[in-house]
Amino acid sequence: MRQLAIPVLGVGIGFRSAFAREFRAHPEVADFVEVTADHYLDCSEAKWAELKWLASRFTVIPHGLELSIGSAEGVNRPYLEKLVGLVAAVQPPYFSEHLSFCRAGGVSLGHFAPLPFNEEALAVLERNIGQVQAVTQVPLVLENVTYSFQMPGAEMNEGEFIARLVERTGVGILLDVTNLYTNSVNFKFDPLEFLAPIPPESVVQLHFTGGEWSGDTLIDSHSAPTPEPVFELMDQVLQSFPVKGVILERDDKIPPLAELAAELSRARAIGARHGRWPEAVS
Amino acid sequence: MDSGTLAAQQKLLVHLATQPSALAEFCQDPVSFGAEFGLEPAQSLAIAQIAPALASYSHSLVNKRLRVAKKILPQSSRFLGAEFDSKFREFAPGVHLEGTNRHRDDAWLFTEFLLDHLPKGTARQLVRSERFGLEPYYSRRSFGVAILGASHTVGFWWRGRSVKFRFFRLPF
Repeated sequence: MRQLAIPVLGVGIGFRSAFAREFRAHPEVADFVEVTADHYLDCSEAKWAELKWLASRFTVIPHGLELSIGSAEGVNRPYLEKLVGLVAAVQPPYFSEHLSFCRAGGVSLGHFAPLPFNEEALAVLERNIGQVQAVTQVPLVLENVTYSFQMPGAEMNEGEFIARLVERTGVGILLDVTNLYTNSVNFKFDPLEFLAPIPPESVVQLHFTGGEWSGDTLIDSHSAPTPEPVFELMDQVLQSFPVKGVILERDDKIPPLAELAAELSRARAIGARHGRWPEAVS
Repeated sequence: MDSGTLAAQQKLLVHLATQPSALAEFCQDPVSFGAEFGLEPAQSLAIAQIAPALASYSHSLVNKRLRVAKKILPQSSRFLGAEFDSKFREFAPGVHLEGTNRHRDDAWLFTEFLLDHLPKGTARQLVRSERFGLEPYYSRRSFGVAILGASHTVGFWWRGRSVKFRFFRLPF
């Protein structure tokens, strides 16, 4: 496949209000930022001003939650229209969403649900991605999600499913290494086997963070420091995938910015060691 | 625009995950229940096999809403403690919201529910105070005033042509 024309972005952070003040004082900790698109759709003037400040200082990647790219009944059209406006406002090199569905029959789940890894789902995704790309002009990048159950009807494994999707649509992949690690623990598979069929040049960006245990299940709560196995997986991915950027995606129990910056520094060093970006902040 | 089996599968899954009573009903007779959504018997039986995980998923959807409601209504949540959680679990199943601001809509409707179900006192005052903070999003008026007993302040909000809205509070 042809690699998407996306510049090297380096090491970034998922921007959150919880550390907004600290971040304004120390923007140098990140090379680029990701924003949750939904926070800036129908938002207050203050939120919009915040977005404008971010866009004046950084490359801003909008990360959507509600497009429902895997819905058989089609994507969430009102959401898409607003997302198009946001993408136009920040002019990112790409925007991202989740490889899942979150609505059906006019009802929203409020969370992601997995797709069955089969031909029918691939056809739906191909159609929906085509419709989205027809109105956005900016490349769409899709993220692997965690799941607490696997949808019946699979005809292939998830890695093969993603590879087939890339082959059919040319869509870029946001590989969430925490999600991959979480699923590999909960469903007992080898994350490297998952990665094997995926074309390396399709993986544009990584997400990383830490989760929590609930009984014997690992939850992707985005509420803990990135654990050692996730950094190890990141290292293996960055060794062989020409990733453009990584984003620390902390959503809950957010610590002082200095602690997040330490995680960013570690990711920066890993990527620099594999020649993905410079050691120093750009 | 439907895509056959996947559309039916997704509609059934969303129904089971968002209607607490539906999952128990489905488990009693998955084939008949699934047929109403257009699924073949084998497809319904395959979904029945993941019913325990769906129950857990359904529970996690409510928990996610609860976590956001706590962030939007922090004072009420802290004061009510476990009662906030139990009241939310009572309120949540009948409410299915849409749109990018549905978490705020959820919190707004939950304050209404709390005001209907809490006795007079500090908890009600806190809920009323936090509800006032959400009022500009839902009121058609161009300003609002309220005595916020919990914080011993008088709260004001207003909006103009070029301003979405502004808040301020004065102590008394």
